[in-house]
Order: sequence, then structure tokens, then C-alpha cells
Amino acid sequence: MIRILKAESLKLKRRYVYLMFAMSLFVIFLWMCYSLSDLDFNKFSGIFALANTDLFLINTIISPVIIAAFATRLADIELIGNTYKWLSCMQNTKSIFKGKVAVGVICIFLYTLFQCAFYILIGIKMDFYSAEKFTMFFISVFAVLLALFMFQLNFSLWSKNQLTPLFISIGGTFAGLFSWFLPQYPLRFIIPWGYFCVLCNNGINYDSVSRYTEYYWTGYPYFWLVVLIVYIVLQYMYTRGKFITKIQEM
Amino acid sequence: MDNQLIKTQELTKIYHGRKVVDNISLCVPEGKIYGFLGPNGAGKSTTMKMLLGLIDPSGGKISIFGKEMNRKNRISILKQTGSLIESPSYYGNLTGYENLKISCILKKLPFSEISRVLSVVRMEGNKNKKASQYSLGMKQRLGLANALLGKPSLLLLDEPTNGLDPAGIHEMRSLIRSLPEEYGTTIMISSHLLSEMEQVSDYIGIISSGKIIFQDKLLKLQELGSESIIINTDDNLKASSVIKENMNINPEMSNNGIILPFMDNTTVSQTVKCLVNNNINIYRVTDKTKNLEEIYLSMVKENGL
Repeated sequence: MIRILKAESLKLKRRYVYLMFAMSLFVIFLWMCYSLSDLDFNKFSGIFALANTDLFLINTIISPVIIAAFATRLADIELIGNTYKWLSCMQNTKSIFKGKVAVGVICIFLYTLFQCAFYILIGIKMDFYSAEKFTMFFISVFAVLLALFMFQLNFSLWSKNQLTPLFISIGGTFAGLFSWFLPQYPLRFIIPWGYFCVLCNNGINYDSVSRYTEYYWTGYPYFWLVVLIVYIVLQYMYTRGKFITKIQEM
Repeated sequence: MDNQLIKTQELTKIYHGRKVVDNISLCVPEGKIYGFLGPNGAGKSTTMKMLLGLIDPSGGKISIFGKEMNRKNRISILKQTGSLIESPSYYGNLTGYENLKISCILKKLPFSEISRVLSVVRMEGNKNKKASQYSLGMKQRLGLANALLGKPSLLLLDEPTNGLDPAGIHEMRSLIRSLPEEYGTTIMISSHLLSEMEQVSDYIGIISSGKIIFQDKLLKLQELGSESIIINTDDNLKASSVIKENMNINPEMSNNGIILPFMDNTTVSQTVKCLVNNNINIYRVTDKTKNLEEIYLSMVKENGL
């Protein structure tokens, strides 16, 4: 597997994938700095919950497109260079697919880890430590990003025009964003982009008189996390099966 | 035939109910160049892909290096095999050197192999240039370099001169020709260009509509092309009647001379003696041969394909 990972990471050379993730993390960092900069940490008790909500919200806006672009970059090098036949003479079809997924998992893991580190820094600044909260934030964001990655990879592996998966992700981003503001509709539960909202275990009380917004913690939606994990597994199996069949037909 | 490196038995591929490859039994001898000839759509690429395990046969068996190939041992067999199938494969964002590095990583080969194959295909000067900036000829050579990594015992090249200019074709041809002599490599090369196969191959397999219609040494194929003898004399009319009376052969007259059916060397010599004894001066005795294209077309016609 290490050889396959080495080869996959070499293929991504000059594709600016890592720069894309770095830029995204930088935007998240700026957003959080802006969001928390004018708050009085001593007076406002729900800052940590606010930071959690903010991180999920910014992920809803930025990450789906980043993930789609990443999946596109992973797939189009093979399609443009007509390389599947070449690779299939050196490795099993399954291992080509596994290599793509493994690189995806590692990049998403690191991307989430950096976000989590940033979240922990906010916690340190606010004198708040909760291993459980940090862990659940990591698991939630990682799971949603992974679900989006598997979804996008399925499209990108076969789209001759890689703009199609990108447009799908932009549409999905809007749907995911709307699902935050339309809690009465079940949209958030049926699209992977909506799961940033589903797995965000914070509530908001807005008092229109005082114009004060209170952020609070709710119980973690374990059921929906399990649903998402099942979706990831099914999507993985479906995409892998389709990949093997398509390679055979080439 | 010599020791066979590739052997297929009743190899068949059916696509949507149509037999694209129909019960073919190939024999590719070791250390030779086997030209796999056929028109576009005859089933050459499909056969090559089945030999590489890229597609599963609908029926039949494939043996390479004496081992029957299946899904499990495919990769281990292909470790001793290099291939170039249809258009060249490459990563445009990587340099030629980096492209070859990918193969080295996946095939567990030392990176020192890269310099060796680059020098074989004469690409050392362009190794640090991005593959997307290569010309088609350079991409084909990169593909060949890739196939040569690890000194494979067997090379499968599917139309390697496709899209190359005459100079590129000549270069690729001499490169392919040199490999069996220098490294003992067995090469199976497919093409639809008869003249090209004639220049590189030791053995020829002709496929048409998925069926093998000829498979033997190139010399045997060329022998099939000898169809008549033409004799030019100072008196063709007299010569014709002399041949008719003495040799019991019915000659035909043409503007080029007297046309006789194909004869063995002894009969030709007797005919010439007979004419000389009858005081006929012989200017020229020539063998009229069909070119490979004519042979191929007559074979296709004979097989009703």
C-alpha cells in the first residue's frame, strides 16, 4: 500500500492540491478570527458553542467545492493521460481505486486535523477543554468530508468534462447551506452536504427584543452519524464496483 | 515453430452477442518479432488486451511463459512483460523522468533503470520536460521506454507507430528491430500496415473479422506471393510455341513477355535450356510476386471474410 500511496502522491505533483487545502484552511482561520475578534470572552458564555457552529457553517460553504476539486484532480490525470490501461498492467484494478481513496482519506484526515487543532487553540484561548467535544467535532467533519469525497469521486472518475462534478458540488453547497435555515424540511438528512448541519450539536436561541443570540450544546446525533457512515460504506462499494466494471470495458 | 512464449487456445471474446475474437490459437515464438496483422476492427487490440488481462476472454485459454494466465497470477506474469496499448499513456503534469518513476515504484524497480531505458529510446535530453509538452513521437517513445523498464522478456506493442511521421516510424522500427538482438526480447507487435510488418517481423499472424487466417514465418507468407514467371526473349512468339511443344505448359502472352504459371527451380532451368537449344535469346526471367497486401486480400477473399 505504501508503494501505491507513493505513486499516487507523485501523480499529484504540480497539481496544487495541497495549496488548495492550505488556502481553504487559511480562509477558515480568517473567518474564525473575524467571527471571534469583537466578542467579549468574559461576558459571553456560549463562545465555544458559537465557534463550533461557525466551523461547521464555514465547512458547509467552503469544503464541498474543495473536496470536489480534489476528487477532480485525482481523477482527471488518469482520464487525460489515458493511464488506466498502463496502470492495470502493473497493479490490480481494485488497488488503483484503493490508492485514490487512500490518498483522499489521508488528505481529508489532515485537513480535518488542522481544523481540529485550530478549534483546540480556540478552546485554550477560552480556557475550555473537552476531549469529547474536540473528538466529536473531528469525527463529524471527517465523516461528512469523506461522504462528500466518495460522492464526488464517483462522478469525477468518469466525467469527460470535469466541470460537471464541480457544478454538482456548487449546487450541493447551496442545498447544504439552505438546509441550515430550513430546519422544518428534511432536506438536510437526505443529501450529504446537509450533514454538516445535522451533525452540528449546537442550538441557537435568538431573542429579538435584546437582539441577543444564545448558543448552547445539544446531545450528539449518533444515529445520524451511523447513517452517514453506512452511506460512506455503500458509496465506496458502489463506486468501486462501477470503477472495476468500467476499467474492464475500456 | 520455436519455443512458444505466448500460446492461446480457442481464445474468444464476445461483445453484445458478436464474436469480436473468434476461437484464435496464437503461437508467439521466443526471441522473435511476431507481427499481428489485420485491418481496423479485426480484433487485434481486443486480443492484445486479453493477453494483458485488461479484459476477460469469453472463452479459451491464454498461456504466457508457460503459465496459464488468470486473475490471480496476472500481475506476477505481467511483471516480466512490457506493453504499449493503443495511444501512449502519460501524466502530463509530470516530466518524462517522473512518469517512468511511477512505473518503477509500482513495479518495485530501482530508479537507475530509468536512465537506461531513456538512453535506449534516445530521450535523455528531454527527461526533465513535462510530458504534456512532448510531441506525439516523443510520447510514443516515452511509452516504449515505460514498456522497457525492468528488461521485460516479452513486449506487447499495439500499433506503436500510430500517428508518427515517416522519420518517427523509421526510428521506432529500428528500435524495435534491435531489441530481440540486444536483449533477447520477444515482441508481439500489431499493426494494420502490411509494409511495416514486413520490415520488422520474423513471424506473421493475420487476423480478419476475429479469425486467424494465417500464422507462420514471414518467409512462408512471402512464398505464397510467388504466382508466376515472366520470360522475355528476342522472339516471344517462337518461344511460346517452343515451351508449349516441349514443356507441355500453356504460356500466356503479354506486353511484358511470356507469362508462365509458378514453377519450381528445376522446371525453370529446364525451360530456359529448352529455349536456348532452340536458338532463342533470353533477355530476362523474372518472378512475379504479389505484395503482402495482395496476399492478404486474396486470403481474406479465400476465407470469405
